[in-house]
Amino acid sequence: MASVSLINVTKKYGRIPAVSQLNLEVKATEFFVIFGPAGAGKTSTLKMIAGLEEVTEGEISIGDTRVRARASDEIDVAMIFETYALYPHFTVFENMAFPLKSKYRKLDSAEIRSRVEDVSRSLEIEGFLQRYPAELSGGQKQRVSLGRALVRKPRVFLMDEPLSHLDAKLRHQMRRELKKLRNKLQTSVIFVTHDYMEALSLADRIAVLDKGRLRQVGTPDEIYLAPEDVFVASLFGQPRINLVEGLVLNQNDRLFFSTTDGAIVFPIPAGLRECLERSNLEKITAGIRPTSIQIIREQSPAAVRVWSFLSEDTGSKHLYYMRIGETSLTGITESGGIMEKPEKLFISVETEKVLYFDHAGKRIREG
Amino acid sequence: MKNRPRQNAKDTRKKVLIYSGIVLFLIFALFPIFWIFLMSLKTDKEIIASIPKFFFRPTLENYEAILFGLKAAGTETSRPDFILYFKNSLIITSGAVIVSLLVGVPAAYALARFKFKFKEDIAFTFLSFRFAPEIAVIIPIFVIYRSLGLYNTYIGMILVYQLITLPLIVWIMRGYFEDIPDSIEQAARLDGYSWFSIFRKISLPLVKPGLASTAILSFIFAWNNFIFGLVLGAKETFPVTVGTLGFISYESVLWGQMAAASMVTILPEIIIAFFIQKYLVRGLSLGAVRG
Repeated sequence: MASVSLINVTKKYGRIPAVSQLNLEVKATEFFVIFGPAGAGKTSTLKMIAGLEEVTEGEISIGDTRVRARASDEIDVAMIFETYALYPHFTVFENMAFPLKSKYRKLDSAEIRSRVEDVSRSLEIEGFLQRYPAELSGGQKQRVSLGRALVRKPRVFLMDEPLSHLDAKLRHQMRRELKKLRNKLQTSVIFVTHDYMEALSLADRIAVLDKGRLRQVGTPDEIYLAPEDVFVASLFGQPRINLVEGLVLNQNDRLFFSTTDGAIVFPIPAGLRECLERSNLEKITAGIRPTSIQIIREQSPAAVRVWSFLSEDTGSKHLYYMRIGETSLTGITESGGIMEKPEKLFISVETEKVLYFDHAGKRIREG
Repeated sequence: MKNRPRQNAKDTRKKVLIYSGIVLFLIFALFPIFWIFLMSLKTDKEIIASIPKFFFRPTLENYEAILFGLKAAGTETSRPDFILYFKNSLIITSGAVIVSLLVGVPAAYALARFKFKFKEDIAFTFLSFRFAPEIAVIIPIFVIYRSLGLYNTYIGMILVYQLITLPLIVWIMRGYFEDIPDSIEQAARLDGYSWFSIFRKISLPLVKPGLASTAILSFIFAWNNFIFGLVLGAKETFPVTVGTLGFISYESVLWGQMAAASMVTILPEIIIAFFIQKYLVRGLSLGAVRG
């Protein structure tokens, strides 16, 4: 249980920066997710925290200890690797006992046995202790690598996309178990992932990275409901948020958003008015989550006529790909939506949930 | 279902073709050895018979002559030193392989895992030992050996054999070490081990099959070497390859004893290859590690 802090951390491979000027503060016992697309510098950051990679500039400390790469001192973190990284020539028991036999711990064999057995019971791998990693399935391997980290009771857990090699069903199950574990552990966890569902469901806080730069840090709610910019907004949510370019119209002293061809028009919440007028923005981008588009069959004052559409049934959800004027929109409803092809289809947008971005991609906030 | 018989016939034909190919190759490769084996059981008169004899009364005279120095069929045994040469070969070859392993395996590990200046140049220099034919460098080495007092010594022979065994071990073992995923060693680092413990407890055990096959391969290469022994050794340190040549003397060629000596010479290679076959196949065909 220890806090982790990164101050102005930069990592360069040759001259190319993988991480630049990163500042993060992970609180003790926090479940902290580092999220970003491929090449964002997530794994580099994690390996620097682990002391496996040298920090080019800046400083990382865990608790009061400064992390120095390739140093012989023990920083007492455990890491779970994307590829499990089990020792193939050791049995499951030996794999899990290995960290306990290191010169930093040197536990006696009775203590090692009892710890390994405790952890393997809780992970339900106690039946495989005498097997070799090659004889295990992917999910079992992942449990063993989790177990190898858990037996140590480290100050910080580092997890590098631990679920990405599992199939969808198993990933879901392991995610649930991680969540359970996380409540029980009371240890800081830094978890790297490129899966937004994992990030949202596990994290206390999420740091969004892009090309080595920090875009936003916040709780899952903040990240999803109040993203700083277009980039963060479009990373979270599947199908992706609809980004519609348009204009701000002033009619009868009320502000409206309108696509350039005027096919979609809806009111802008009054709270944003001050900011819009102050910055004198005309062209803005509206971010509409597919979930905030209602699909209706009857004309009403707020409804917008859909010009053409294509629907896709994915079992529990029903996807609509719509065209309105020059704008393409994706909508989503619960299954049992509109299956037959109606002559007329309308949408209404939940206007209070729409996000607005300026031309630089920054979100326009109230006040 | 319907075309199953035809499929089977096709499979059988393919198998027959493959196996006859293998048999042909085996005859090509093994017949000389078989013929030498027959020679080693014949008397000299039978060996030089102009119509080669496949059926004859086998004799162990040749083996007795080379191993115990008995008089064979009226011919004076000219080389009762065969045992000494055999011992020389064993000492030099195993010595060379052991030294190469002790030096080459850590070198291979360093080349595979660490970043340092002139890394590739060093690796290339090791490989370049194999470029020049031995005969091209043997005279300078001979001169150096004479002045250093390494001529006709085991140490000198083991040293010069490094030219054969070391590049082989460094380069093949480097490949095996590179096959170990970085993450496994990183995991061990975070589990609280120094690089040396990781090398000893994780990396080395993982390359064991590769290590065995590489050691055998370099043993065979070294065992078969001829020129270093011929030039840099004398009677006391001649390896068996050079010693066997001694059966060709001024007045006659002792074909039978030479054949017997050849058979005894290849014996260690065959025995080791059999014992280690399991590793050899696995080591050469698969990567060393799959997690």
